[in-house]
Amino acid sequence: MTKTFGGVRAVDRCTLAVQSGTITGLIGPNGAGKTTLFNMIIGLYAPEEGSITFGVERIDGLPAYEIVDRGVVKSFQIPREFRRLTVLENLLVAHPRHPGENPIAALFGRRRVWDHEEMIRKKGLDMLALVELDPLSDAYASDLSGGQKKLLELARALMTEPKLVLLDEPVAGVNPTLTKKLLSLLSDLRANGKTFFMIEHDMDVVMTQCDRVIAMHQGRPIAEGSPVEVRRDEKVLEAYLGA
Amino acid sequence: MVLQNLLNGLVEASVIVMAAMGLSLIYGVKKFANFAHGDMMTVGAYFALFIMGVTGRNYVAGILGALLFVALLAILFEFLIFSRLEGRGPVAPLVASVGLALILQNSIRSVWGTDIITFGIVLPENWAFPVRDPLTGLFVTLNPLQGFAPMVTALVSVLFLTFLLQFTKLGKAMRATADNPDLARITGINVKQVRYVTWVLAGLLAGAGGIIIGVRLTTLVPGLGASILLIVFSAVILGGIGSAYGAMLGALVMGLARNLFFPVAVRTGIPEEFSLLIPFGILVIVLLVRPQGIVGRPVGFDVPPIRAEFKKLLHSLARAWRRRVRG
Amino acid sequence: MAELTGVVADVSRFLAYFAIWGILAIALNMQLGQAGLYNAGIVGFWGIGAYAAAMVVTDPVAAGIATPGHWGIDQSVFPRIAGVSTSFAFGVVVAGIAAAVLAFFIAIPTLRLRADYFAIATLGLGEITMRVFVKNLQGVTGGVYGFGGIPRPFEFGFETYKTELSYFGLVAVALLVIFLAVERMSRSPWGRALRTVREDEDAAQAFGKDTFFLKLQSFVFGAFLMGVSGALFAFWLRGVFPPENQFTPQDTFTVWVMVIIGGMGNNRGVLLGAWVFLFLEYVTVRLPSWIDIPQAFAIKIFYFRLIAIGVILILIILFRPQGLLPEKKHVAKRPRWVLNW
Repeated sequence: MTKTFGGVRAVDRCTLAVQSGTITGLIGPNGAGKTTLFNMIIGLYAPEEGSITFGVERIDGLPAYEIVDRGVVKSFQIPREFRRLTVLENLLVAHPRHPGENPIAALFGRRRVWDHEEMIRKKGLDMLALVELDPLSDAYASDLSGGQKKLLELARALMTEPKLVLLDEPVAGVNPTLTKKLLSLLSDLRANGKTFFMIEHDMDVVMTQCDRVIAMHQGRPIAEGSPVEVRRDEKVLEAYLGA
Repeated sequence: MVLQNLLNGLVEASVIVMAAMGLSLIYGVKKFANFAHGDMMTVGAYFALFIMGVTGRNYVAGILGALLFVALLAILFEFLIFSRLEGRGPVAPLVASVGLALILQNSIRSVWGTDIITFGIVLPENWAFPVRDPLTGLFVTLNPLQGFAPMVTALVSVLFLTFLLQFTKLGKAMRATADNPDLARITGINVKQVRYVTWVLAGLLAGAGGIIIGVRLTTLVPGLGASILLIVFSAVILGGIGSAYGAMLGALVMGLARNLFFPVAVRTGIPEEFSLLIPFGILVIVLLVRPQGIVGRPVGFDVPPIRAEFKKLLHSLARAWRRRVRG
Repeated sequence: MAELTGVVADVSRFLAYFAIWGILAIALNMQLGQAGLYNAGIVGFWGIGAYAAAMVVTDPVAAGIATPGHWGIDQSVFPRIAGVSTSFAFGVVVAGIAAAVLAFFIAIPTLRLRADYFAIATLGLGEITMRVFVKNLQGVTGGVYGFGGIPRPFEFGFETYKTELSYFGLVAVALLVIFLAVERMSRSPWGRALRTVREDEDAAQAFGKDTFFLKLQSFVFGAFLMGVSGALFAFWLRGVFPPENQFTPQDTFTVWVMVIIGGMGNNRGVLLGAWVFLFLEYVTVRLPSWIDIPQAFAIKIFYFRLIAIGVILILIILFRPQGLLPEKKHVAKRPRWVLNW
């Protein structure tokens, strides 16, 4: 796919594939186009050339909320929490296909709506417990610290019940103990069939967590393979040193 | 060719362009739509009247005094209000300007009341050109004060502004700040100064514009500037908001369009009141089809074509319907 | 005794006026406070509601030399309940629907625009609706003259205080019902979804919200309420008159002031904003007849009030943008009564 911003080809005829049930890492120096690629997959930008296929379906050109409906979600690198909503509400709102999210239901309130609401409340609190944010469930999301907001991003992405999760530096700014816990959570989820596609700069994380790694430079992939293979790849080393 | 209407159109365009340039400058550098701009013009007109009253009909003092006053007010507004609203997006200063408009318009009302006041000038005779308008058969006329003076003022202002923006260091600084304030600051431009200067220019243009409107109407009402605001917005958006050249272009089109509508109305029998529809109609069409206007300055958001909007709507409705059916 | 009834009539009239604007403020709060839509075309919806309702409850008047003439509906088609014509109820509903339909059409091209462009676009469209169409369709709306003689649901002839009081009762009930309904809607998952659109539209989309549709829903529903308010206003004023006299952009910005000063996102707050604005108006208009003030000053008080409002608006934007009563945490609570269908 290709995406140009004001004359700069952020993503340049990039072709790659991610296998389901894996944790795949995406590495590359700053400006390689990784975040732009993610934004294209999730539907925030439309590719100028090329196509994006998820499973058997083409998803390029669809609006973001349709893509999320099909099971692809992205967490933001710089957290974009809903500031004047509470932490719990941030999660509740991410849950897909809520029957109550229309004005008629809001006015007349079918029981189904509120049963669903109770169910996702419980789910949300469990999710918060996983990322150790449950004592803050009623705080405004804007009151969280930077690291806590990143955890919220992750939890929110998982709430959408995705099949494929695009993570943009998910553990940057999170303390080591919690990071370990999150990474083991990701492994568990992977064992349950979820796929993760992760942009990371922390090489330790990439080495230990990822099944496969893709390296990007100047808008296209330059290497693919197991973490060890990619790390030793000449082109990759050049890209990092030269950038 | 309908010469009289064309000439009238140019005169009207001259009036609109005075307001449009100031509005565009503010939008370009301060990044918000100044809803108080019309009232700034009104202040200019009334203050000129006031000075003339005090100095015994001294026109020069009136004009200069009004320009100075509005420019000073503009500095005050930036200092007290708008400098503190930097970085809060386009809506906060817009709302503040609504409040400012309230203050300005009602200050005028409290001093002069709501009654119409005559500007108290004696109009010179119309000039008649030795050309006959093909439609009416009359000689084409132009009033030196109500018609020619605005055109001259507008032309001088347009040339001055163009020269300033293209060839002076200040102009380049203004354009750089409008494009990217952070980048401009890094390259050594005193962005704060640029902002104040922009306000001064906008104030001068607004003051002059107000005086011209007053002269053209020969009467003043407190709602003078505000009533023209929507037409000016239409012109600015048509041309391309944030671009002074866009404002000039938009004002020209707007002035001509409305006046050239009259012969069309005569020919086709559309009632004349529908000429009001023209500026608003153009505004709506521009916003539908090409919100970035003729010049096409970036508007800070992606603009999908209108067909996409219909598709989106149908899509959403279908989705909701499917959900209901599914239960 | 006569004085007392006069006071009752006057106060009732004012309170009804407050309730009418209160409904407008709540409606704008749904669009602006919940969904972040800076609707500057409020008068378009309000006006259409007023005209639509006025045309439903009056008989047609043929255009004559002295009369403007307008469409109406033969009032005998409406059944009467306990001696009161149901045309008023129909009028209110029609008003709401008319405004909602207008909103639907305005929304499609404008909802994609950014906040300030949206404001300008809705301002323009509101003006087009009122200035060009309403004012010029003489046969339909009474054109530049508008028309008067709109009846009230409960008429008591010379006992004006009863008429005013009964009308206030009606409007107060309407306000209460609307307030409760809108509060309930705010606390629902829908309200929560709307607020995400307000907070960060891109992020909302990235987490599965169809933001366009949500904005449309909020806009249309808010417009419906504005139409209802317009209908109640037409009955209150007993007439509808075109812009120049009524339904000016100033009215739109008045509602903005009420909502922003009162507290965006907080329904009680916006009602407070409406109250402050209108109560000040009530007092400043009547002040000269209560206390002895030099004549010149008395007139100017009216403008000083507006200047003060402008100053307060600027101060609020600068120092307390959340308004007097800021938005509280909306706890999505299961409401006490739910329909099982």
